[in-house]
Amino acid sequence: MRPVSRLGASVVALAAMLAPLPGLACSISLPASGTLRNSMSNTVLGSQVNGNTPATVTMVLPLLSGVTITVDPPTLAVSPGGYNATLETREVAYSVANVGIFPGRNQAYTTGSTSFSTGLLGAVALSMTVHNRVNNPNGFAPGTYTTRTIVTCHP
Amino acid sequence: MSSLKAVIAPLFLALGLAMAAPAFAQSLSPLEKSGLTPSDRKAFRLQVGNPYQRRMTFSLLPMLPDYATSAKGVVVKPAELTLGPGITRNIIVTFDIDPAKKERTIALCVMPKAMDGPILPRVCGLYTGRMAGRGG
Repeated sequence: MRPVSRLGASVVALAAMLAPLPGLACSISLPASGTLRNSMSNTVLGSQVNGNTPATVTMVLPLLSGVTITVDPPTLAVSPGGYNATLETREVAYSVANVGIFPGRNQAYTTGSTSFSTGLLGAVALSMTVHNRVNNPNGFAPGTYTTRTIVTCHP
Repeated sequence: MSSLKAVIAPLFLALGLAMAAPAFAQSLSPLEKSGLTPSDRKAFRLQVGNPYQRRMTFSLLPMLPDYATSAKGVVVKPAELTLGPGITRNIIVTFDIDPAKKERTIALCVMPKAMDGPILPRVCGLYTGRMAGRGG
């Protein structure tokens, strides 16, 4: 009886985890948006400049489906009028902790799109830490800057 | 040094305000589906959900399987959806299939409509229609 009880408890726990979602859904949420800061040299804006304030992304994945997560390089969605973007480069870095048989993923700063598969029987819920960095030797004019990184869950 | 601080200080304030976006989420189910059609159009019923904390409006964008290029000949009803927390709703995606080809695969991406934060979370699925009697 004991193994049956354990199985029953596991089923209940799994059902509770998946209860808010439609069957085999992929769900992405953004618990923290992160903050960019300027370097003292005024040539780098980043979430790891003068501190550590990443965005966090939580993904609830379909069990047994092995979805892929793709992270695109950031665009600069908002910048002030006097900003010169001629020499600008934009980078993204992220890390995903290992959960269960999912080995985790660490991506250093890159200007390109990167993807990773969660694998069959992978974790049901993953948390991703995302950093953005904008480099510009011409500096940053005073004002508001907002980067935008697309994180896609897909088959 | 004082002039540098004068430049940076407004940046700290402006960035802090700009990046303080609220949490949001969306889901799409199923992520893959395929089926036969007797005509040159195929429709799928899918579910879009808002499993989390606040009322959200989502855009449903038909794309090519590269998830980057808009797809033509695709109708999504509704193309925009406002859902309360924990609400899931059915949507219908219908697309044309070139009669000269036996099948067509499209992607459908769900993303928040009003998005001013640094991360744009997007969930995309792949849907394939095959014309019956044409090798499908």
